[in-house]
Amino acid sequence: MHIPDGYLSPQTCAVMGAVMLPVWWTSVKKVQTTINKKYVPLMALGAAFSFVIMMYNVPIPDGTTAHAVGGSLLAIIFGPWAATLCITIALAIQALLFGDGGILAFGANCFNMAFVLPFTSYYIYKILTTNSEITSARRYVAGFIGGYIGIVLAAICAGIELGLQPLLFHTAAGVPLYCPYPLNLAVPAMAFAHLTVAGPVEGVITALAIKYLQVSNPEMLNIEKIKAPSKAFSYAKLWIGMAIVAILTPLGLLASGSAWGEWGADELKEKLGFVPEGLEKMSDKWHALMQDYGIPGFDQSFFQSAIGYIVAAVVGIILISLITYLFGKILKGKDEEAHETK
Amino acid sequence: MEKTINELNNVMKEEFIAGKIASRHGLLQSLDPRINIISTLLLIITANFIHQPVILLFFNIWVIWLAKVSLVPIKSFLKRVWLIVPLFTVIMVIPSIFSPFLPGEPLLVLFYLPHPVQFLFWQIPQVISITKQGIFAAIVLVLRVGICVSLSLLLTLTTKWSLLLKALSKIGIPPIFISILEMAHRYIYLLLQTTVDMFIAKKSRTVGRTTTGEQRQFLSNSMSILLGKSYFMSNEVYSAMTSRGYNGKALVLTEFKVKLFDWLWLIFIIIVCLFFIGGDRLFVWK
Repeated sequence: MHIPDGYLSPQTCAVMGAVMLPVWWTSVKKVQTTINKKYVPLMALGAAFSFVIMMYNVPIPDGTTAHAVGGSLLAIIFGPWAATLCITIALAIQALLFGDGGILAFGANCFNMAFVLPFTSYYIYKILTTNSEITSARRYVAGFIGGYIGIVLAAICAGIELGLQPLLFHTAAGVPLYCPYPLNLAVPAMAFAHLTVAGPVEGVITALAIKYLQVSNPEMLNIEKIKAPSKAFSYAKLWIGMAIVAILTPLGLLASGSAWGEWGADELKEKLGFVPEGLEKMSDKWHALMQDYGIPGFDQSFFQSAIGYIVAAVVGIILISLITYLFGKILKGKDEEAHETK
Repeated sequence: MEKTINELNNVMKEEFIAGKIASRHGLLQSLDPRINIISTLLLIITANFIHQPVILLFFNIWVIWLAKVSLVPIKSFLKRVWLIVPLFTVIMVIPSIFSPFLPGEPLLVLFYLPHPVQFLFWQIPQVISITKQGIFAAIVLVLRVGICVSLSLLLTLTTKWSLLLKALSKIGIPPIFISILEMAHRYIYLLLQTTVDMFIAKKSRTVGRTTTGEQRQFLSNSMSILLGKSYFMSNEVYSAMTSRGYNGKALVLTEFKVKLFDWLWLIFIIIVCLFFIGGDRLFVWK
């Protein structure tokens, strides 16, 4: 479910990042007020736990293996906000160190796996286990249902994000620029894979883990209750702000015309009524320097201008590569100097 | 179980190799880590705005060149970039080049159905063909994913993890996040080791075959044990930290200094971005 970079448009990534910002902020505040300063080592170990869990290969009946996210278990034991923080950090380590999930798509990945998944699992578990004994069978059944639905819902969110791409971002000829599958293909595909394989795995693992804890370590299932909730912090304003952002963003995406941030100078004039002076200057200079990527006086026919493009591009590439190389040489020389003087 | 043990060992091995490359004296290693992060981000954003395959191809070649100048072993770099993620991308986009998934101008007609078929909420057209639009979209996606994967791999290969984290905290990521990230990174190896030990202990005591159900039972039990151990250890670590004077604030020892070359490099990267975006707007593939 880790979406790599390149599948989602930068606009979508920005929106998902913006949606996650208040969630992260609230989770830090919330965890800080409920678990005190203790939360730094706790979160660190929780994140490490979630990272390691994602590497467990769980055998499934057909002989192959699948892996669980473990987000449901974390949410049930430490509460959903702490789980959000832990999984976010596990995802950050995966994206930065192992290339699992994109850097731009980090917000989207966190939304699906660190927000939708733990919250869904947690509240389903909570509702199903109200007034139940620690040892009651309702607990692990609820764990299964929570884990199953949580991961399926997260997958459906990923499917929606991917499926919106061809509808929102395509060329005039209808060629999709990012993920090519529309909603009616992306969502069922994601949902099906998780309904049949990943969902049961997450569910069974969560249920078995809870069952085991009931026997061997029942206090773990009560950690969340021990923490006294604090009312020092109000979230109302934050959630209103987030709701407004959430409502406004799709409007911006659906607006016709060029993609956000991709306007030419003329379009900007139409939109703003004026062209920022700096931009106008820049665009003038740019043209003067590159002459539309052609060679002056060599743009009579299609063939000539095509060659012009290619020559300009080749010259540009060679220049860029050379400068890259020079930077390497100079920095390397300086480094060796520094070593010698030591 | 064996698969998991192997995977865990691989993770530790990869991290070791990455550490070795990061201490070489190449181009990106010599830059200020903050500049490295910002330029990587700029380049990834640029790559996502580019829609022309030719430009994306040039971009890819330049990134490989960048890796070469940074003394990253090219063979294993290419293997890691092009065998894992884009291969997955290629498999994923193959259906999209056919007309049932992405309707468009037919490039190569495969066969005709007697009539269009409606399958749930998915329409299969009468003509099954490979479409121009499909090929275009597939090429763009694979090339772009390649660039993004190369760039992020390059960033982490050329920057030491500790420096990377410190740089992140300098560019506005909350310090709390960074210190949790830093500690989590270390505990991962501890927990990985613990897991490997548990698994090997179990394996050495197992005679004969175990059923899928038994294996699952063992896995979920070790998961719960690991969770219990983590919770117990976090309390221990917290006591250790407070007894050493921890008050909730993290201190960073290394000071970064941006040199002239770093600024020049950043300006150069901005020019590169403009060059590729400009090329993308002008060089239209039809």
